Amino acid sequence: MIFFLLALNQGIDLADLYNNATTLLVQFQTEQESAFARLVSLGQDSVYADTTIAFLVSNFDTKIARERHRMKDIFKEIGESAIANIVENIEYRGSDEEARSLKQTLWVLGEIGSEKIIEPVARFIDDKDWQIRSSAYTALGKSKSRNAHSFILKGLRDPVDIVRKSAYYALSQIAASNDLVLLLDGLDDHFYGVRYAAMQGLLNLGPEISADLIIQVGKHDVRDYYILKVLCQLEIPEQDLFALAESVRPETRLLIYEMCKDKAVLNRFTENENNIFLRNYLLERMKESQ
Amino acid sequence: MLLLVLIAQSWLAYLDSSLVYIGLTEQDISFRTDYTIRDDYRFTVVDELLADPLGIVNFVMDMDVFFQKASEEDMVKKSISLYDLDISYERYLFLQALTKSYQSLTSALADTSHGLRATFEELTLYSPELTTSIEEERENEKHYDSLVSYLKENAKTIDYSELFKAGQFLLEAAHGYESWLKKVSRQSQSMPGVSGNILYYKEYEFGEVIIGDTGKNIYAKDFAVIIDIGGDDSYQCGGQMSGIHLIIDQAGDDVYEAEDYAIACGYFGVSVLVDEQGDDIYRARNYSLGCGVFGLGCLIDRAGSDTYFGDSFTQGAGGFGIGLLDDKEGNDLYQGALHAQGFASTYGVGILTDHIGNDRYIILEKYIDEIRYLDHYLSLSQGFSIGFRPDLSAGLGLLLEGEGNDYYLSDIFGQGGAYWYGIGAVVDNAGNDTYVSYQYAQGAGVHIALGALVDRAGDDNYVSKGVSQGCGHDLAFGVLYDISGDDSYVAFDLSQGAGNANGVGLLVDESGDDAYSVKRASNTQGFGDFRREYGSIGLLIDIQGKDTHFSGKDATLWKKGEYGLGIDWE
Repeated sequence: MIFFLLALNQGIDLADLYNNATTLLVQFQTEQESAFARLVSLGQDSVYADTTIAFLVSNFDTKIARERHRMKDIFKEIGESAIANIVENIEYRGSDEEARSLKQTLWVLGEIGSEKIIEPVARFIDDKDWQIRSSAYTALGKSKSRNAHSFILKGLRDPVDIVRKSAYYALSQIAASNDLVLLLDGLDDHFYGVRYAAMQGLLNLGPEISADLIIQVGKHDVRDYYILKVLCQLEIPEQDLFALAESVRPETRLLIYEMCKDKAVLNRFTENENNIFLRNYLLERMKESQ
Repeated sequence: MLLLVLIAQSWLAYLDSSLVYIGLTEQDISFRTDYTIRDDYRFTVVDELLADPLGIVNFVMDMDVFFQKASEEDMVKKSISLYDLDISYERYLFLQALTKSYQSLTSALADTSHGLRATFEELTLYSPELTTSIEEERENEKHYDSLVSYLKENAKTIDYSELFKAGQFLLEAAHGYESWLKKVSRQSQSMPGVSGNILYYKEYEFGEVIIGDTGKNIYAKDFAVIIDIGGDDSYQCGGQMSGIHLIIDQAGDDVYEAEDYAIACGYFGVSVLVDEQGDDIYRARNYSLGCGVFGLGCLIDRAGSDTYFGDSFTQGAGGFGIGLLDDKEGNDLYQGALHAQGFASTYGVGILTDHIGNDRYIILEKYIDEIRYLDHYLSLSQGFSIGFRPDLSAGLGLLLEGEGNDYYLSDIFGQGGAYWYGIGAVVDNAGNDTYVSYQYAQGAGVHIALGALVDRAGDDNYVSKGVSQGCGHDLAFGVLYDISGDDSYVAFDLSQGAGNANGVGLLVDESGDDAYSVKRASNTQGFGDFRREYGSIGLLIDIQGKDTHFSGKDATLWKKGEYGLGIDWE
């Protein structure tokens, strides 16, 4: 209260700055940008930070999507110093069942990142609301800390697709070699968001897992696609990769052709390829390389 | 060989085979129905199609087949069926049906909240002027929020079963009037408020009934029922703010003129207009020409080349009710400005069906789109549906076009689109058609909604700037499906099979020699961006014909983004 009065005394109208920073009207673009910068500056100021952040957090319950997006951007700019003040409000879900305030809190904490968010965020991985669980897992992933690992595991089996996606995303951000089996399981998920996150996790494990991946090829068409996506991005001998071309269905072979740069190999692929799209693709590549 | 097998199958087989190239299956194209807490006004079909968005193509094509062939009574029944209400009613003769309609309407509105009327009007015509300050913007938002809350709570004070039953009875009267007309004792007379000869007048419980003769009549006063048996007549209609209204005009080139809440406007009421013959002019403003708002409005024109002028909520528009416009034949002109030509708001069904003729659908530039532009205008029309985000779902808006070379013009939001838990679609059966719009159009789903444009035949031209031509934005699905003809597609960005913010966009052209042109190749013609840590899906699929693409050529494929694919099958 004292600081709020101080702010008023200094001629700082937080509500006005907030309104200007979050306006959607195109004719007020200039006001928007300057108000945004001012709020970031106040949020980092040793005197005004507490008041400013408390004010912004009090708006987390807003129904207006653009305000939520803008606040997320402001807090990303303010950075880690805002975490403690945000966490103070974390138990407040919001004024109605939508729990907008809590969702916004988790989103903002995730966007800021840092290991400091793990404990407060992890309290919500068992929440009844799937969107809260999803937001919590995403935030844990954005902490980029291996300390979040034990919390993340539970989400990999969540019945809601998007929650599993978020948990796999989180795992992908902190994955270590002993997560290989979990990540491979993710490639079999019926939701592509999960498959993509699992693929990213495998990619983050690096070339040392390439042998483990190569032996997986040929077991399942969809899984093959994602495994090859990983292998094509890892630094492994091209010959190992090219040898896989015959083990997968044509549609998946395209991934190998896309990364192949050797003209002689392209030529060999062209001679053997029967799929008209792939053949035309290879012919185009050959033409480009001439 | 693969191609031959696939040709014998539906476009879905091609879709399946295309998805394999980007590591997807049909199962991946699905949305949840609970990104926000479900309001009481969402149609079940919206939930079903969000879970299975590809089903929208069959859904709207089935609706079109039904509406092109069905009786008028069945059209109304089909519209009511979307509400999952338990309605049964018996058949009655003309006067009894009118009485029953009136009684059902009275019963439906018995417990209606008094503020509902003003609230809905303010919301649907919300913010038509350019806001001049941020303070004003905030005040508007607070006010808007309170209006929506009121509507959410109080719209359920209406008994919709009884309301729609009232509409069905009225339509039954419209179809059963002839036997009564034959028997009724006629006597020439004059009547205050009517010029020309009158054959019958009587006051009933439900209102006044009047019959005009074969000469020219000018009706300057509203009656519950007007039956006019011929002549070039003029209807200078007043507002239909409640009650039942039936106009049957058997012949002549007629002029219907009114301001707001008029001409087949079911506004806290039910209203049916049947014009049997003649080249007619319908001229009104807001809430008119086949409009149902807390009511049911049905305009049926059975013959002639007609002209329809309206402003907002007009020409097949429904919100908390059903609005239908059915034009059987003739070369017609439809002109509106907002919420028009197959438009639905919350708990609304708005359907414009035109069967035969070369028609023009024009949305004028009147209501500026102040959020996005200083020089573009909201249309929200032509097979469009929008809810009140984030509180109330949208409904079902359809523009169903039969035969003829047609021209469609809109600006922002139009031509087969929806916003916030709703469905909007255009289905055009035949003719060389031209679709011109600017943004969020031609098969565009925006913010958890489903939009479709299906054109069955003809050499068509599609022009739009962006977020169009099969585009899904923010957990939404948009599809443009053109079955045959040599077509031209022109767009600037984020179009022609584009998915954005976890949306899915699909452009499928089955046959014909087509040309696809874009300015920004990076996010068009099979593009999916990345949001919320996973991908959006965008596909351009051309199945047959000698085509010209900006991004590829016949019998090739190309990828854009993680889940963006263009593929020309031959």
